[in-house]
Amino acid sequence: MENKQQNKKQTLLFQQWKKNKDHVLLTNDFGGRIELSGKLFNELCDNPDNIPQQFFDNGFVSEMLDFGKLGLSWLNTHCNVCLSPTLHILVMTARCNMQCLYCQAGAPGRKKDMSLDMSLETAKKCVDFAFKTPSPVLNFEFQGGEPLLNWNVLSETVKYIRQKESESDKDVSISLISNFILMDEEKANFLLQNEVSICSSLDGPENVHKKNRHSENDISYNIVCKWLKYFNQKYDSQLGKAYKIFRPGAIITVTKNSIGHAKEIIDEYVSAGLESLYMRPVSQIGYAAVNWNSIGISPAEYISLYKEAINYVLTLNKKGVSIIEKACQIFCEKIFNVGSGGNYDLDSPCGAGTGQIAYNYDGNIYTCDEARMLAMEGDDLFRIGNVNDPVEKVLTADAVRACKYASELNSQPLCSRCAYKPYCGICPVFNYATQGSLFGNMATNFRCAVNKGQIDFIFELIKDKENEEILKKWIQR
Amino acid sequence: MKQFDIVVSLENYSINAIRYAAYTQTNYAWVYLSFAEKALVNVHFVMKAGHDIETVKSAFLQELEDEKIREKSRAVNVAASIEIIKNAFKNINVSFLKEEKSVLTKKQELELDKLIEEVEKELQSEMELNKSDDIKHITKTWEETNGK
Amino acid sequence: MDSEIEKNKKIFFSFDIYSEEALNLAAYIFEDRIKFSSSKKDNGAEFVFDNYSENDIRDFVNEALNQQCRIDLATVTGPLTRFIVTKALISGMGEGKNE
Repeated sequence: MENKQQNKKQTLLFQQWKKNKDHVLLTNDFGGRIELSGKLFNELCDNPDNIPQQFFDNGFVSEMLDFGKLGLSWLNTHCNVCLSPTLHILVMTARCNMQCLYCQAGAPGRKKDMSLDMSLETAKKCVDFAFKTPSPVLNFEFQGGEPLLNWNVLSETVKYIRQKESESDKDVSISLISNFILMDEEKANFLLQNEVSICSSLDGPENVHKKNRHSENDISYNIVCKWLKYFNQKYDSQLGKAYKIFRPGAIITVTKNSIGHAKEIIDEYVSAGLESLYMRPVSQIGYAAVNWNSIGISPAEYISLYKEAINYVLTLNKKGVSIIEKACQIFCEKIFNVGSGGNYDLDSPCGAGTGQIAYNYDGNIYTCDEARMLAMEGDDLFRIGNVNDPVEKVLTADAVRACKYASELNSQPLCSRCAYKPYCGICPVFNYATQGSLFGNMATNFRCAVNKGQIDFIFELIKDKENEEILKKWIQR
Repeated sequence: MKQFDIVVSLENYSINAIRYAAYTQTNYAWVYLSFAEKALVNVHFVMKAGHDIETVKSAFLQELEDEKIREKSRAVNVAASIEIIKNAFKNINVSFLKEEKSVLTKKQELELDKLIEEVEKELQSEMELNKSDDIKHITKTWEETNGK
Repeated sequence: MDSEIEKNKKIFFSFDIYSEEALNLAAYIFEDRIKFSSSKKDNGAEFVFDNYSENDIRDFVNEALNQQCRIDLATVTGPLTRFIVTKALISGMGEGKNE
C-alpha cells in the first residue's frame, strides 16, 4: 500500500489514540478507526513518507481528505447536534410512594405534600410549549417522583397531547416511567389505548431489588413483575387492536447490592419477558449521595459486574435468547458508525436544552432531567426558564450555552486526545454535582472511568467475530 | 507518602506538553510544577494510595513523547475538522427525523409487524432444529448467507 | 510542594506555569472546600491555606493543573468548539437546516 503523493509533504492527523500492549488504536471523529502495531505507529510518526492507503481513506492524512464522505460520517454519530428538543420530560409530581436508596429526584419523604404536584393548567402549558419548539418529532416522557400519584392530571395531559397532535403535523410519542404501585386495570387500559409506552425499574431478583428500592410492606418487586407480565401479555396479543402497544421496558440501577448477582439480574429480565436492560451505575447525586456508604460502587466494581453481565447476555444470545444491553448497544452504534445511539449524555456536545428539556412540577424548565433533580436539592443553576417564557428565550438561555461548551469534547484535555472520543460524551450537570464545575475533571471523573471501561470491554469483545456479529445485530433492532 | 521528581527541559518539550503529561497522572498522584532553573521544569509527584511509582513515571514520560506528536498536527487537524463539519452541516436533511408516511392503515401496519415477528420466530426455531442438516445453508436467509 | 504544605500550609504558583485565570478558576471551584488567602509576588501567586487537610490542598493543586490544561487546549481548539456549539444552538432553534 503506497503513498500516492510521494512528492508532497503529508501531515498525519494523529490526535486520538490508545496504546495497548503491542498495538495502537487510532481514531478520529469521522468514522476513522485503525488498529496498527506499535512499531508501524512509531515509524509513521518519525517518517510520514510511506503512508498506507487506509490512512488516506479514513481521514488520517491532511491531503486528499474526502470532505463529503467524512462529513457524512461525522453526522452519523453527531446527528443530535442538528436537533431541536425532541424529548420533553414532564415531572408530574415530586412526591413518591417509595424510598429508593439512590433516588436522584429528591422524592423520598415527600409523599404527602400536594403542592409538589403539577397542576393541569401547568401541564397543558408544558405541552403547548413543547409543540411550539421546532422539532417535527416530540417524545413526551412522564416522570416524577411517582407520576401515578398525580393520575388525574396525567391522564388529562395525555388526552391533551393527542388532541394537539391531531391538530399538528408533528410525530408524537408518549412514555411513562412508573414504579407501578398505583397501577390498576383502568389506568393500564387508558395508557394502552393512548399508545403510551411503559417503563419501570427492576433492579434484579427480589433480594437485590428490595435492598435498593424500599416500599411499604416490600411490595415493589411483586408489583413490578406483575405489571411487566401484564403489559407483555398485552403486547403479545395486540393483533387486531386499533392502537399500537409497545413492549414494556425496565432499567436497572447498579449499586453495591448488585455485586455478585450479574447472572441473576439478567435471568430476572429474561423471565420477565424483557428484551433489553440498561445497566446504569448509581450516581452520587441526591439521596444516593447521602446513602453512598451503603450503595456506592467504584468504577472498577461496576465494570467487573458489567463484563460478567454482558458475557452472560452474549452466551444467552448464542442460545437464541433475545436480550440486549442498551449502553452496549449505544456504544456499538457509534463504534460501527451507524448512528448516535440516541442517548444525549453520550453526545458531544450533550443534548441539554437542545435534545431534551425537563419541565418541573412548578412549570420551571431545566436543561435536562438531571438538572431538575439538582433543583430539588436546592440548586437552580440549570434552570432555563418557565413555561410562560417565550420558546426562543428558553432555548438560548445561558445554562444551555454553558452546557454545550462544557460538553463539547474538543475542549476537554483528556477527551480531545482519547481514542474513544468519537463514541463518548460527558454530562455537565453530573460534573457540577460531583466535581464542582460544569467542565469537571476527567482524570478523576466517575463517568469517564465507567465509559472507558465499557468501551475497552466492547473493543475486546469485537475481536471475536461471533461477538461482533451479535453486537451488529443489536444495532439493527 | 511516596514522592518523586522529574526534571524536564523546555528545550525538549513545550510547557503545554509538560503540563498535559503531568495532568494525565492526576488520578494516581498529586502533581505540582515549578521551575528548577530557568528552562527546567520540576514535576513533583506525590503518590496517591494504591498506585505504583514506576507506572506513573513511565506513563508521564510516554505522554510527553505522545504530546510532541500531537502538537505537530493539532492546528491542521482543527482546521480540517472545521471544514469537514461545515460540509456536514451543508448536507443536513431534516427528513431523516420523521418516518416516511406509510401507505398501510394503522391496523394493517400492526398486523404486518406481528406477522414479521411470527415468521422470524418460526425461521429461528427451524434453523435450530435443522442446523446439523443444513450443509448447503438452504435454510439460511439471503442476508445471513451474504453477511448483511 | 509537600514540605511547604505540611509546615506552612502554603504554596507558590509561577504564572509561567499556572496562569492567573487557571488559579482563579480552581479557587472558585474550591471556595466551599478550603479557605485561603493569596498574594501576587515574584511573577506568581502565593496561596496560604487555613487549617484544612493536606489532601484538600493537593486536590486544589491538581485542579489548577486541570484548568490550565483546558486553557492551553482552548487556544487551539477554541474555534472548532465555538463552531460546533454555535451550530448546535442554532439547530436547537430550528434554524440553519439545508444551508
